[in-house]
Amino acid sequence: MQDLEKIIEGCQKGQRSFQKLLYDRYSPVLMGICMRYAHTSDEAEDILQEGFVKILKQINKFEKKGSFEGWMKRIVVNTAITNYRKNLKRYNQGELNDYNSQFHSTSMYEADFTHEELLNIIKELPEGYRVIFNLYAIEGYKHKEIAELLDIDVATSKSQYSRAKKSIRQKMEEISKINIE
Amino acid sequence: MSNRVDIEDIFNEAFQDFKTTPSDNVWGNLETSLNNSFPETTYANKFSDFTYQASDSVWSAISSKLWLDSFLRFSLGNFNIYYAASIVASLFLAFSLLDFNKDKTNNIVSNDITTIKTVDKSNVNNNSNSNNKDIKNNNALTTNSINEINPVIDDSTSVSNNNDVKETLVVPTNNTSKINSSEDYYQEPIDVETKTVIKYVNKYITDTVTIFKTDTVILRDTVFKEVTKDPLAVVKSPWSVDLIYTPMFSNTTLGGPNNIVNKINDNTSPAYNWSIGLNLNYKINNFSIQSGIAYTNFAEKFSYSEETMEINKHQETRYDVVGEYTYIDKYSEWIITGMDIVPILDTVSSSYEIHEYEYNGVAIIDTVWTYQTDTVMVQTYDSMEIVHYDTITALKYDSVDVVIIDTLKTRSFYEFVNRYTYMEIPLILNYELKHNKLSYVFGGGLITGVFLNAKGKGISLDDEVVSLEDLPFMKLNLSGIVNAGVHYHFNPKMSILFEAVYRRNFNSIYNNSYFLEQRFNSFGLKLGMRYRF
Repeated sequence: MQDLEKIIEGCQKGQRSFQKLLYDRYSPVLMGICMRYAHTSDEAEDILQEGFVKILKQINKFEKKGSFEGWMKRIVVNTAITNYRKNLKRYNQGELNDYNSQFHSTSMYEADFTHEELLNIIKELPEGYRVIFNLYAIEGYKHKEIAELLDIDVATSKSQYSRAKKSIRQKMEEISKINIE
Repeated sequence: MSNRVDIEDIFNEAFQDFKTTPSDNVWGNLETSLNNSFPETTYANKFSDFTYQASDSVWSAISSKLWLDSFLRFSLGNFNIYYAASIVASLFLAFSLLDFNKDKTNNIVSNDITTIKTVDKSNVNNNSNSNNKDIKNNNALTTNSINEINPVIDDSTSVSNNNDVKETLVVPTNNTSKINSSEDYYQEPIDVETKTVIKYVNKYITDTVTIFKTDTVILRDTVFKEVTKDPLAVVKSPWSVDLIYTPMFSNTTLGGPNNIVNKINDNTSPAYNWSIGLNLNYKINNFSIQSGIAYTNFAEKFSYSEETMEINKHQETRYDVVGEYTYIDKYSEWIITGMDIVPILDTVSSSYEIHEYEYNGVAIIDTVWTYQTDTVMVQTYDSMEIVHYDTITALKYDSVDVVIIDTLKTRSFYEFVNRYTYMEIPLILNYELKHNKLSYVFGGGLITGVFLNAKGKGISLDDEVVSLEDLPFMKLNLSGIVNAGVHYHFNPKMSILFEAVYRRNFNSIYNNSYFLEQRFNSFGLKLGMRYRF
């Protein structure tokens, strides 16, 4: 396993072999992020490709102060957001109904769900809702930041997140029930 | 003191195995709390280290994109489009010079030999009628006839019949005549004439015998007029018009503060540019002057992330405990310890009467008082005063005005294709070298561009993203252009043009007042159609 610093230095010099090493090491993690934002795996690969090109082109800007992996993840997330903004017109901006049903006290645990099931649940969300859920719940952005990034109101971000959350809960309940049966 | 017992020990013993059952509400509340954060925590935990394998094609695509990007940027150490263009231009130049020299050599040979005719010996015994017929036929000579004047002996039969003597007819040299055998597509009218020539028979093999005969032979005697002009000279007008489309790639040379220049360089990449125009050419010998009008669109990809910091300030007063002090508050109270009722005689009113009378001769004055009294029952109390001493510990507060600075970082991403459009007037001098249906063209000149508009984003001196529409652009731009390429002539009137083009701004596209200098370097392929009048 090559030392990460050497790989970064090699990439900063534009050496293709080091770029490939970096890709081999981090593409699975970054692809995991892309899968959460994209509707299909093809779209996820497009985001990964674009994001990785940005990483390699901007790697000279990386100041070795923070986590390199975190830096790369931020770039990929931002690429996914850019991709979403770029395709706003193309996407079918669906709306989620405001579920009236309250969350039942069904016991659900993380272990009850596979990655695939969880991915499928968020993929069923309309694009905007999915992006907001990812940014808030997983990436840890604040609603104000999300509103700035997606050029929407803070209230919109909050309400869409709330609806997305309810929708996800309901789907998780359904899956949970099926698994129990 | 062996009897001393630690309080800790007492509590430890008492509570070591102490158990109690919480109320049913506790778990309910806990579960509700967990449920409230359920989907996000599940997702956050599940996907914190989630990996997914991308397909192999992704790296190929990334690699290709990186290669293309580096190919389009000039770098001394890497092979790029500028080196490629130089190589192509050099090859064009080299081939053209070779062709040019070859043509020159051919012309010299033709001048020396002038006219070489091949004797058709089979016609020697023909009568005069057939002569006339042949001559007539020769009037209809076509371009194929040109091949017959190849300066080699092509009648092998005659050679063998003539004791191995090869015969060649040579017309005495006429320096003004010239054969241009290679212009096979040129159909200049052909003059045909009959001549009585001196046959010069050269015996190549024995190299000793030279026979002169004055003989009238029937010749396919084709004499070509001097062809010293360009084959295209049949087109009388020197004017031609080009319709041009030029796809280009451009990068920019920047000048200004290093930090901004580096930032712009890092965030821009070449994009597809194009130019479309109409040019008019005027030809003088091998040179042509070209001018016209073109609509040109320069472009660059601008990809920039900007982090802005929003600072909200507000002031509030905070109270800090800076110390404490103790004081004794003294107060007393009276407590009634007993009660009694005591009657009190009270004189309500009093009056007196004076009686005067005589008694025994003595005047007596008797004053009689009358008192009216009232008896009142009065309660009496036994009381006791209790004095309290209350020791109070008071905290000292210090009120501090605090300015709260709330910092919010926002990262904005810009992905734009910046476009700069110009109406341009080129003035170009070209030099053409012709070879068959091809012409090799080299040229250079100036382009005056009138700025029309710009759309997109740039970076200001304050490192902020600004709209290009707001920037001060130079209204007139001057660029230099060099071009090298090849023209293919379909016919004397129509040609198609392929030229490699390199152009560069002489002046910055911005006004001198602006902090940034920007010049376009463009490489492209000029494609077009030429029509000669």
